[in-house]
Formats: sequence, structure tokens, C-alpha cells
Amino acid sequence: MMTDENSRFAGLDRKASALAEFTIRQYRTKLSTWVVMGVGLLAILMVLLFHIQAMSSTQDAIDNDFDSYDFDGDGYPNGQEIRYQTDPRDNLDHPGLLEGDISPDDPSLYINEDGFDWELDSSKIQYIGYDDDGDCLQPEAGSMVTDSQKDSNGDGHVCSIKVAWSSLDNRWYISSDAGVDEDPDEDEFYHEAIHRSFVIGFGKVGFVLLIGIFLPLFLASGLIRQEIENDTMHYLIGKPIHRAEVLIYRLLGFMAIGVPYIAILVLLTAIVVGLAAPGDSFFRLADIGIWLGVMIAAWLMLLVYGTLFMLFGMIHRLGAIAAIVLGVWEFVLAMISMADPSLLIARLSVVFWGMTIVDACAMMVYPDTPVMLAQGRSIKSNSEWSLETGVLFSPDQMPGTGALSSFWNETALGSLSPFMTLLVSVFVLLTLAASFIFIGQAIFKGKEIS
Amino acid sequence: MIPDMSQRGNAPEETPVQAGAPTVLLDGVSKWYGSIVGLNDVSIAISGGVSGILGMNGAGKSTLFKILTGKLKPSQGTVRLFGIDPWQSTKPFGRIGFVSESEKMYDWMTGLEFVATMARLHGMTREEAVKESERVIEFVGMSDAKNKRIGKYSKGMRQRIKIAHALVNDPDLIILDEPLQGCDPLARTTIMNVIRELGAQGRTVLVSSHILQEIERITEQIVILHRGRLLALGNLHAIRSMLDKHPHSIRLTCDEPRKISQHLVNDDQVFGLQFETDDTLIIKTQNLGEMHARLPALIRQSGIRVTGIDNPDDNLESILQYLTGGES
Repeated sequence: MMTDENSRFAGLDRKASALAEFTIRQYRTKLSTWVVMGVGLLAILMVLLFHIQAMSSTQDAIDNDFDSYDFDGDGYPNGQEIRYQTDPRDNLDHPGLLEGDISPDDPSLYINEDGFDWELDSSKIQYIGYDDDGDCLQPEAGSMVTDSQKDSNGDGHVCSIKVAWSSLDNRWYISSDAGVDEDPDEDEFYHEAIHRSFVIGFGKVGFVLLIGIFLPLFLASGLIRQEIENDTMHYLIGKPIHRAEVLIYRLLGFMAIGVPYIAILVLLTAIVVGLAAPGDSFFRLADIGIWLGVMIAAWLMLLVYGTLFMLFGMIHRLGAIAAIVLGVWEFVLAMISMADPSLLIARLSVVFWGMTIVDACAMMVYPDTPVMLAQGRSIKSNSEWSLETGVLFSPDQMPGTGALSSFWNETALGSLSPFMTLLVSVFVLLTLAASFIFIGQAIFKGKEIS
Repeated sequence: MIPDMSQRGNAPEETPVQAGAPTVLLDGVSKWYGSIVGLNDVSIAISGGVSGILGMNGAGKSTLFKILTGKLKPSQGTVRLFGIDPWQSTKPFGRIGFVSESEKMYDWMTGLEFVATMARLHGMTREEAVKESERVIEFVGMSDAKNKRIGKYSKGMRQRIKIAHALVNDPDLIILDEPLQGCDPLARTTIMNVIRELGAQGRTVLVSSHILQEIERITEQIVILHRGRLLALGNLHAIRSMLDKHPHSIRLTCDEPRKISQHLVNDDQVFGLQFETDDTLIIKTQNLGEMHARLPALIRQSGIRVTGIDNPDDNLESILQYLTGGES
């Protein structure tokens, strides 16, 4: 009995490897395979150039708190006057008149001098920030400033930033005490924000949506259809193999081509982006987690779309048209998923679940992104000063904030934790693939091959 | 629709494979495509030996084969291969070899790769598959070209490789749909020998053709299909001898048909003469054998040079015409 079972499984295994191997070799002989894969590689390389360009560009430093300016024209920058408790708007009051003959500082010392600082915890209200330049703590003249003056936002924490989650509009809000983290480094923020946007956005749009749809559209639609059209189907089904097996083994052959292809593309992207990315080390290892997520999501897309497109081709000669219609539907819902993933209609697409995998991994790899976004947005509050003088300019928000906020999503599956979101999405995609195969084999079994 | 993962169907698996079950059994099988009838109430049981399936194009030969190989589902009736329904179960396919009439193959493979891949789909290991493939390729006389791409094969070579692929699982039933079509004389002879050899080995072989002489050289056991119906079944000689009681034609190709007719008109076996073209003469006779025996002497008497003698109605059309009472 044991040997009988063994040999049956061995036979199954042989047929599977024979048909999958045959499918792979068939792909190899087709020009279309190489064209599709070549175009995919070229497209990826082109997009990588954008990342490299963005990372090597520089953002002009902006003096967000205007303390490098000299409003009263006495030669001392505002920041220095504030530190020495002189009036920055009175040219007869400046540190040079104080004891010790203080000479004016270089104004560039007061640009990008107080960057964002935070240590993240998971609570919905956090008090973070550190007054790097001391214009809130004012150590030299601390006796003159009361604690309530240092707590200008009234949150009970001196010289800090309050980060609070608003469940009303699903956003983090920041209110900071005056002079805390008020003049961050635009260049650093921009590179970090654009890098994160690129990793998440390219993962979702480039790999999950585009490669995830186009590779199966071109390579899986013909798995059964071409055999029927070429009149060679009887070589595959006139054997002691169930038709369900034929479907699965053909798909296996497709996956055997698609899985390493996607792995190579993701790896290539991860290496190039990892080298160009901002960070202290030569290579940014931290992103590996999210690239793994992108790879798994793209593999699952390949599996689900591959199954669907193969079945469309099997069911009807014009199945490719249905595949294109589905592709458009998925594209529209992908855009919706990115604009507002909480809309339930987005879940009626395959791509939503793939993108959610990437989002979930991004939440795990970059857990501090919400705070980063909130701080990027909060910086505009300083533009009040420009109203006063009428000449000064301050940006609406930190550069890169808009890009990051449009690709960053953390509410796809409501309040589920990132890890649970990941598990649920993977499960949904696997279930979809299994049910499509189940339905497909039932149709294939009843299909007459003439 | 309840998907049937095991493809076991309702009954067939449970139906015990009877030891005495005929290899091929069709009982009242009909197949129609919309309003077009492909097969009409066909019942046959075949076990062992070579059977020729004769029929004009569109007579239902390919439909019959597609039903037997589980590609089409009969609209009506029962089909059993070794006692199992081929539409419900893939089990019989392990014991069947099928050569399609389609010329399409995987041109990018070599002959050996193709046959070995098909062997592996039967569950053989890589080594077994190569070994068995080499055996059957040898059997069809293709060993020399086994490592060439199928795309570079001639028609006859392709046909032989197709036959090899159908034999690789050592089948008990071999179905060949028009295996001789378009083959060169050498390939034809090889294929005919292969088929006869398979029949002699005790296997059941079904060969379809629309050319009577082809089938005649392979087997005497024939099935005649006409417009989807089973028209005749049995021994070709028996059918022929029935035909012999009816008028036959002999076509003479010669320089002066009118002149030679003067020498023939008085022979008592001749009951009609007909001038077809400028250089042919049709002789009508009741007894074909006797007429052929007398012809050489008569021609010699006339002294006219005759370049060809043949029997224009020694073909499927005339048999069909006879069997259907002239309606075709």
C-alpha cells in the first residue's frame, strides 16, 4: 500500500515536472517572451534613473524660522540676538553692546540648525522633539523664561512637540512649542521622503500593478489558448493526466519563469536604490524588508492574474479581450486604492490586496513615516512671520511631503496591525488563486476540444 | 456546477473493468454540433487487430476519434474504452496511443525530445522516457533523424514521429487518423508495415482513411462511415464480392479507343462501352475477374497500343454508391 501511494505520487511529480519543464522550454523558444521581459527590464532601469537623479539633486536650504536674517540691520543675525536677549527689530540693541565684545555670527549657522528629532513609540499621542539650537530652552538666559513660556502649545510638556492621531480624518497632527525642531534640513528631509515614496510607490505601481498585470497578460493568456489554436492541445490532454492537473502544471511553468524574473528585477532595484538611498552607511539595508514585501506581492499578483488570464484564454477565443477589460478595471481600482484605500470598492480588485501587502511592509519598515509626514506638514506654521515682514518666503510644507503622503497608506484594512494586514492580504490572494483554479478546472473539464 | 477535482465523475470509476470488456465499445453514439450531425447512432465493438475506418471527408471519422480520445462528449449514447468512459476518466489514456490528423506539432523540439516529453506525461522517469522513446523511434525507422528539429522534418518523418509518440506508452489501443495522408511512398510503406506489425502483436489498431486501396493494403477488417452513419462493418473481401455482382468499369488508355472498341464489342463479358475522352475507353462488365483475364488477348488481337488499364470504380466512392443505392 505504501509503495503504491509512493509510486502514485512519484508519477504525479513526474508529470508535473515534465509539463512544467515543457512549458518553460516553450517560453524560451518564443520571441514574445524575451520581448516582454526585455521591455520590463528596460522600464525598470529607466525608472531607476529617476531615483538616482532625485537622490543626487540638492534642495536649497531654507531658513524656516528666519533667524539667519538680520531684520534691524545691526549686523547680528536674529538668532544670535534672540540668544542674547536683545531685540532683533532694534538696531540699537544687539549683542555687541553687551559685555565681552561679542562679534556677529555667520548667518549660515542659523539655517537648518534645528532638525526633527523623535523616538517612536506606538501610542497615539506622543511628546517628541529636541531643541537643538537652544532657542526654546535658552540656557544662557533661562532664568528669565518661565516654564509656561517654554510650553507655548500648552500641552504640559516643556520645549516639545505633541504628535497626536486624529481618528476624525485619519491623520497625525503636530503642535510644537515655539523654537523646537523649527528649522529642519530640507535636503535631508527631501531625500528621505522621496526615497520612501519611491520604494513604496514603485513597489505598488511598478511591480504590483504594471508588472503584475502585463507579465501574465502577455505570457499566461496563451497557456491553454495557444495549444487549442495551434491544434496541439491533444498532445497534452490525451494523456492519463486530469485536466485540472494540466492547468496547474502549465501555470507552474509560467510561475517558474515569472518568479525568478520578478526576483531579479526586485533585487536589481533594491541594490541600485539601496546604494543611491540616503543613509549613514554605504548601503541602506533597512529597506530589504519592504523589497521582500514587494517581491511577495508581485509573485502573488503573477499567480492570481496568471490563473485568471490563462482561464480567460481557455474559456474563449476572445478571452484576451476580457483580460484587457479586467486590466482596466484593476487599473482604475488601483488608483482608487492609492487615493483612498478605505473605500470598500477597492477591495473588489486583486491589485488592492497586492498593494496592501506593500503598504503593510512599509508600515513595518518605516513606522515613523506618519510623524515624518506630520512634521513635514507642520512646518508651514512658521510662514506667519512672512506676513509680518511682507517680503519673506517660507514653503507651504517640507519638500517631498506631498509625494510621500500620496504613496503612504496605513488604513487599508482599518485598525488591523501591519502584520495582520500582511497575513490577511496574502491569504486573500492565495484563496483567490485557488478558487479560480477550482472554477477553471470545472469549466475545462467540461470543455470539448475540437 | 460542482467542480469535480478528481474528475472521477458519477459512475465510471466504480464500474469494474471487466476482463472481457471490448477494447472499443460504442453503443448508439450520436454527436451533433448545433444542427450539424457529426455521428448518427453508431454502435461498434472492436477488440484486437487492425480495423480500417473508411469514409469520405466529413463522414465522421475524426468526430469518432475525438469522442474515443475524450476530446468530445457524445451527445447521446455510451462510449467505453476497456470498459471505462473516456469523457469521465483519463484512465484509459494510459493504454491508448492517438495520432491526430493535424499536422501541427512542436516544431522547436527534436523528435526524441518530443517523444520523451510525451512519455514523461505518461508518468515515466526521465531515463525511462528516453529509453522507451529510442525504442519506438527505432520501431518507426526514425533513429537517424531523432536529434533533428521537428520543424525540419518532411511530412512523412513528422507522421512517423507522431506514430512513435503514440506508441511510447506501449498502448493496447492505437488510433491513427489519416496516417498516410501526404506521405511519400517510402514513408507510406514504412507506416503500413508498422501498422500491420502492431496488429500482428495483438493490439487493437484503428486506422482511418478515405482511400480504399490504402486500407486494403493494411487490413481486411473495415468500418465504413458515411454522413455520420455506420454504413458497413466487416470484411472488405465480403463487401467486394457483393460489389462484383454489379456492373464494373475498366478504363483503357490507348491511342484509338474507337478502333479497339470494335474488337471488344463482340465479347460476351462486355455489356457496354463508353467513350470518355479522346484517348480513353470505359468497358462495362458484370464479371471483373473474367474480363481482366480476357483483356490481354483481346488487346493483342486489335494490335492497338494500350498504355494503361485501371478500375475507376475500385474506390470508396463506388462502394458508397453501391451501399447507399446510388444516393451519394
